[in-house]
Order: sequence, then structure tokens, then C-alpha cells
Amino acid sequence: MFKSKKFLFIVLAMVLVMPFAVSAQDNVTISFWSPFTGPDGQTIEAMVNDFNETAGPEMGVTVDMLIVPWDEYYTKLTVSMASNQAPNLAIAHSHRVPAFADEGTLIEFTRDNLETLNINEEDFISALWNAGEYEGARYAIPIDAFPRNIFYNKAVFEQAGLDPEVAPTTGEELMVALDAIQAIGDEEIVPIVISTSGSWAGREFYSLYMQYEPNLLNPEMTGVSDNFEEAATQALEVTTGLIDGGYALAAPGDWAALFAQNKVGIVFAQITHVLSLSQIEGLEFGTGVFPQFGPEPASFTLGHNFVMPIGSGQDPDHISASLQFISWFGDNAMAWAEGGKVPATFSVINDPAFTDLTAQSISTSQMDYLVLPPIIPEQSEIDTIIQENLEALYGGQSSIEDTVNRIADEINSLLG
Amino acid sequence: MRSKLFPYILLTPYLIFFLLFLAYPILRGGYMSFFDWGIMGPKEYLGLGNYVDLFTDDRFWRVLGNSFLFMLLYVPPVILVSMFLAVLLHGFIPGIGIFRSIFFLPMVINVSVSAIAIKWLMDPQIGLLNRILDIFGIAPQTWLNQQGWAMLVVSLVVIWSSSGFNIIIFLAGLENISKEIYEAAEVDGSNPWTTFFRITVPLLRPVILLVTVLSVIGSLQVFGEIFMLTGGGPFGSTTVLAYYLYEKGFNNFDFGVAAAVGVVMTGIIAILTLIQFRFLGEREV
Repeated sequence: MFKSKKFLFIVLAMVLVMPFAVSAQDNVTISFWSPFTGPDGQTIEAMVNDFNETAGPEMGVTVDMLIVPWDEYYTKLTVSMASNQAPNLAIAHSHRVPAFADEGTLIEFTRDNLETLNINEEDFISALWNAGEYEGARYAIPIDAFPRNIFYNKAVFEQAGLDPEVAPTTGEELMVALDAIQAIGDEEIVPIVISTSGSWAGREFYSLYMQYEPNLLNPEMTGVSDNFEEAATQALEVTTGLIDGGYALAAPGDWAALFAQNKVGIVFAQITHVLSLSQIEGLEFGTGVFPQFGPEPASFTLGHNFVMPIGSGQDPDHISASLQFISWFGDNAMAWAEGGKVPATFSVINDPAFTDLTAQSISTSQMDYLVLPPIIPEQSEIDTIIQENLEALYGGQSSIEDTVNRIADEINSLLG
Repeated sequence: MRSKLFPYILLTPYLIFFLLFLAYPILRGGYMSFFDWGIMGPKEYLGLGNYVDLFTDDRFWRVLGNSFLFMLLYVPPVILVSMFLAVLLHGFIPGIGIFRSIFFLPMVINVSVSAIAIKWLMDPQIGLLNRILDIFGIAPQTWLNQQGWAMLVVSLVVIWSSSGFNIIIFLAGLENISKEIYEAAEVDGSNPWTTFFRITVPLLRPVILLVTVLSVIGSLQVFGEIFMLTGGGPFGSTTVLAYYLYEKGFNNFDFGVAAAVGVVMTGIIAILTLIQFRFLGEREV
């Protein structure tokens, strides 16, 4: 009697525990590091929560997201890789992917992976797709782009007698608009804000440079392109011309605050700012493509990508779970685009609902001539060279000729 | 036997932490500096290759120059300001505790938080500092974007944030000076300046040495303020050794070169500390 009771107790206990054991076995939790904060952060958090509440349980996948702010994101990601503690899934800028891949820190997305996920190259903006490949292997799946574009202040446009619904699209149209804004005669209004320091100065230089010469480097990637000096000079004549002409400030400071106070006419910026600008009460602004100054249209962009770092937490189950989340994210990327991004996939771009996102649609219209940085591990060092030399130029410590020559020499020395 | 072992038992917790978190990283850094070392570990033994690369890199010498410039802009003022404030705070005036807390407060504010506030304060268009200058008809300055200003501003910020710690050390030193000496000086008709230079400064000599050594070490290790305020710019004019090490390691993934920079930094700090002990520490008072 006692034995049968004990047996019954064990069976009951097993029956009670079984569902949890099965659930624990089937459900895979992946760690996901995201650097997005502010409006971006709210968007991705909402998407991850949505996944964990809807599709995740069906797939048996839970995403455990950790937000690591941009300032320290790559430092922490690098340390986590070095200590074999990297997350299962992470975000990386397109220009960072080659360096991480070159260090052997990323898991390759194999052809089988992509077929399983039904991910096809044709579904993506080609420039973004190509940036995820390094030495014949794919290490990144693009999720968005954030090209350079302009924002213009409609109140200032109206004050200047300009049509507030029409953005300048060429260098000539931009100059007409700037002259009109300058003619208002208000010393507190800055006609245009361009970036003269930091990474943004470099991005604006790339946009203009690539309108005159599509390649920064020569085909062998051993130095600057043959046409570098001429194209770089033309690009820098545009920006310094805006400063020397009294249209732009050599040190603009916090442009968003001035823009919100209707004290800036036009700003060279990127689409990621659309959400934060939209949240400013009373600010009426429009979005335009990056104006064409050179013979060919070009807008420099970077993009965010999913990458799978190598680490002790990776195994086939976790890789498969990450792939399922990536696939779900791609299917639901409209929400991400709403946060102020150019989506990477045509499935979102061609969705009728996307046209309602005016600013994003305008920025996306540049997709045929988006230009990304060269796919080489040394790109971060090249960015530093260009950034520092531009700061010297805009700070009045160097001429255009010296700046261009020094950039060329330093890049040639780095890659040669 | 027990009594001989007892001091070592007491030392053990410290020694464990010292070996784990100081000695091992230093030795490991030295070892790494002889390799081409990437994120995932060593790739190739280079011998002194990283050091040769470093010493033949023009940028390294500019960075070294920036570090010494920062040291010059930071160390003498922080010692003088801290000592001056400590002497003022040493008296028995009402609310002295509040003043002491106010001067120590910057020490406990996170670098990121204070950097954001200072960036707003110094913004060329909307910053309070330029607004004040504007009242006097002075054109707005681009404090953090101009080669001449950027390093000076960073050094002022570090002086502001670190003087609280030095004030505490000076106050401890002042507490140790016997009141009888001051009373004797007063009886002899010494004025406050003579008392300060003839009594306070000489008797504070060991404390001044300590603060000088700590400030020099701190000046060569400055990173957070530069990372947050200038990012090493403009034109690399605020890129100091610690920031250069970070760039080499975490931007370029050249951890071998970064380790070599660390070894060079350690060597410079050791030499400067020895020099200071030799010239400031040997005279008895």
C-alpha cells in the first residue's frame, strides 16, 4: 500500500513537472545587444516586446534585449567578444562589419541560413546588402539605412518668401533659398547648418565628394582614387564656400535647439532625426534629399545590421533562434521605419503604408544613389583621418589644398 | 611562528586583489605588447615591432606632446587651487561643512553627466558662457572646437572635478600642523602671508609631494572628460595617451599596439614619479 502511494506520488509529480520541463527545453532565450536609445530605443523595445508576446512563444524563442548606449557600445561588444561572452545577436554599423569579420569575431550567414529564412538578395537595397559581405562571406543582414538629407524650417522659409512645401534639390536651388533667407536680414537666423566637426563632418564630405567621384579608394584598395584630389577639392569648396559666404557657421553647436527656435533655415542632417524633430511642439519642418552639387547624385549613408558574434553562448539552437527573430524583424520592419529609418527591404518600401511616412519616403527616394564606405577593415581609421583634417580646415588651421594633400598622404600611408 | 605569519595573513586579501587586478594586468599588458594581438587573441609574435611602429608614428609624438601639454595646464593650477581652497576651508567659520561639501561635490558627479552640462554651458550658440561674453560685446567662442581653447577647457574641467579630492588631502595635512607653531608665529608678529609661505607650505611639503605625484599620474591617465567633451579633437589636439590607447585598441583592434602605449605610459609615469621624489622629497624640513 505504502509503495503504491509512493509510486502514485512520483507519477503525479512527474506529470506536474513535465510541461515545464518540455517548455524549458523547447524555448530558447537569445541575448540581443542593442545600442539604440531615445526614440530609436523606444521603437526597438516595443518591437522586441511585441515579438516576445506574439510570435516568440509560437517559435519557442524569447529575446532578452540589453540596451548599451552608443558611446560605449562597441567597446563593450569588443570586450565581450574577447572574453567569449558576446551576445547571440547584436547590431553593427555597416562600416564596422569588415573589421569585426576580419578579426574572426562574427558567425557567417550561410546560404542555407538565408534560404531557411527566405532571405533573398533581390529583396534588399543593393548597396546595403553588399556592405554585409566581406571576402566572399556574408556576416551581416541589413535592417536600415540613414542617408544624409536636409531638413528645412517652414516658418523660416515662409519668412523668406520661399514655398514651404518645396525643398531645394540642387546646389543652385539651395543657393537661391539661402540667399532668400539671408535677405530676411535677421542676424539671429542662420541660413544653413553644416557639420564642421565630428563624424557628421566626414559624412557630409563623403556625400559631396561622391557626387564628383564615386570611389574614395583605388580598385586595389591601396590608396586614394586617382581622382581624389580634384573631387575632394571640389567638395570642400562647396562647404567652405557656404561658411565664407556667411550662410553657415564654422562652429554651429547645438543645431537642433536653434532649429526648434526657428533660427535655422536648412540643415544637412540624417533621417534618424525625424522622430525627435517631430516631437518638438510647434516646429514645422520639411524633409528634402541631399542636394546635388556635382555631376552625379550621391548621398552617403551608413546602415544598421544584425550580426551574430562568436561566443560561448552560441550553438545551433541559439543561432536558429536568432535567425527566426531576424526573419520576424524583416517582416515587421515597417515599425522600425516609422522610427526614422530608410528600410533595407523592398517589401517595406513598396508597402502602400510606407508612402504615408513622408520624410522616410523622401529619404528613401535616394536609394538608387546611396553610397556606403569602402568595405575594408581600416575604414574607421580612414574616417578618423578625414574627420581630423576637416576639423583643421574648418577651424582655419589649414587650406583646402593642404587638407586634401594631407588626407591623401595619410590614407596612402595607412593602406600602402 | 604564529606571530611571524600573522602580518602576512592580514595582508593576504590585499595581495590577492593586487595580484589579480594590478600585477597580472600589468604583466599581461607587457606580454601583449610583443604580439600582433586582435580581439580573439595573439596572431603573430612581433618582438619589439609594436614599439618600433609606435616610435616611428608621427601621430604618437603629437599625442605625447598633447599629454605633456595637458599635464602643464592641469598639474600646477590644480595644486595651487586645491591648496588655496584647503587653507580657506581650514578655518572655523560658520557653515564650513557646507563649503567643504560643495567643493567635494564635483568629485562624485559622473563624468558623463558633468560633460553634458559643460557642453551645453559652452555651446557656441546657446551656451550660457557665450551669452555672458555677448553682454560685454565679445564674439562667441567655439570653446571645444578650436584648437587653442579645447585643451584649456578640458584641463579646467578636470581641475574643477578633481580639486575636491586634493582639498581633502591638503585639509588632512593642515590638521597635522600644530597650532602652537601658528601661535608662536603670531606672537613673533608674522603676517598671514609670511605664515603661509614660511610655515604652512614647508610643513605641507610631504602632502604637496603626494598631491603632485597623484596629479601627474592622473593627468597622464585622463580619458573620460576627453572622450565625452572633444573625442580627441579638434584636429587631434586633445588626443592624449589614454585616448590614443583606446583608439588603437577599440577602434582599430590593434591591441598589441594599445598594450605598447600602456607600457610606455607606465614607464613615463614611473620616471616622472621618481624624479618628483628625488627633487621634492629629499629635503627635510
